Amino acid sequence: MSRRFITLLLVIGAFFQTMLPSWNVFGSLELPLLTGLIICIALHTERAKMFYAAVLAGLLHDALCPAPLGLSIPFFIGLASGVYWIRDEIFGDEPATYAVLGALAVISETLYYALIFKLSGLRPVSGTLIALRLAGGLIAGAVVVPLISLLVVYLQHFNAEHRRRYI
Amino acid sequence: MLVQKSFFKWATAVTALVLLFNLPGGCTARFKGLFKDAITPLQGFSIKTMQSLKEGADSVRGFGGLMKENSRLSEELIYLQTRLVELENLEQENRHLQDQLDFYGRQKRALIPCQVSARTISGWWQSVRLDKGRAQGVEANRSVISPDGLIGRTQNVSAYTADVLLLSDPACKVSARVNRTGSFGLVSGRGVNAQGYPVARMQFIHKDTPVQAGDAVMTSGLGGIFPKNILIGYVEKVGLEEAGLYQYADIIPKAVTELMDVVFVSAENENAEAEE
Repeated sequence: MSRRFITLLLVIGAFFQTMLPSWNVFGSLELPLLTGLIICIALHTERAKMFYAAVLAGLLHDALCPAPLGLSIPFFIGLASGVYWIRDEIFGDEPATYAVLGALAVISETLYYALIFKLSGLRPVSGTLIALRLAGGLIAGAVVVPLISLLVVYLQHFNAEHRRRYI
Repeated sequence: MLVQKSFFKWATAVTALVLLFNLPGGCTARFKGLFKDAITPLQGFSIKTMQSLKEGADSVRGFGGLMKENSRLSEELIYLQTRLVELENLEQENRHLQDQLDFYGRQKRALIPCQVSARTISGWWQSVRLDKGRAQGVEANRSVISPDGLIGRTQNVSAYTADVLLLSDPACKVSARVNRTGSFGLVSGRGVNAQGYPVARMQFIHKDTPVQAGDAVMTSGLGGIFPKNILIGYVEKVGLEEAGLYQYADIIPKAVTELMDVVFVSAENENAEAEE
């Protein structure tokens, strides 16, 4: 995966995440496109690029919401590092793996933001909202992340095939 | 040598991140503005495309239903039905635009019409993005209204975009007044309910005031951001707070529920108006 490909994926992912409607039943939960992309990138690329992707995802996320810039970077770095760390121990390209990783990632994301908001006093966060978002995150992560991974793998193959044809 | 090079690379990355976390607000706002300004035209284009697709789908749906009901309908009739659907859509759009124009003309204060271009990337915030920013005269902490009432206030403003914190966001607080009784209180957002409707709550209403469901809640003009006598919404439910000192009223913020694609940002500071 080249840096250009990663940048393109994340920018498109961030764009779609702002355009797709949120899940009101689960506390306005957004579809975890950036989270899914980071999981895919961490499973398919080397450490430096994984780090680059995590920082870029954090910057894009914070630039497109009212959060202070830099708030999401530690989460994305933590997520990418965690996935990178265990990637030799798991079946990387199985939809079930993506589903489990996706659900866990979205749950940790909810807990991370809830903790940060609570500690910093940045936003009022209620227990009901966290519970709703956790429940929604479990479903959204398990469904959306495998779909994103399929798309990324397809695009990656298409990209490689396309390049090979024109060499 | 290789280890040393790698160490320097990581040290530079960590230093850059630490610097980023400690940048002053002005620098990060400019940086964030660059991202938003770059992506907003694309978002505007997508919204327009989606609207066209939706209109197309509506026409096709009407066409399909017609085919089921009357298989013998001639092409001319189908054409006329499609035209009728189109005309109805146009009529509805015309009515909306007329309402907005009337509202714009009625206002004594200067307003900047803006198009809603996107929503925020994170569901933790109840906010939308407008397609106008500092270059068009939009400033932070200005009230955002529509013919249906108060929508919220501008928060982060870049050169060509402005984020609006909706009335349903818990961080958006408005000094309000119950129109019928004249009692004051503080309205703050409570997110979105399971049906997807935004909700807000008016707190600190005097416990002896006879507030009832259906009462209109207006802005009080106190606080310096929101103008006086703008409709916030209607009371849905009234209750007594735990301590028993005050009443609260759950409100349906009408303008947020029926959020239009065009909204108006106040061009003047309400404080400046009060000083005059």
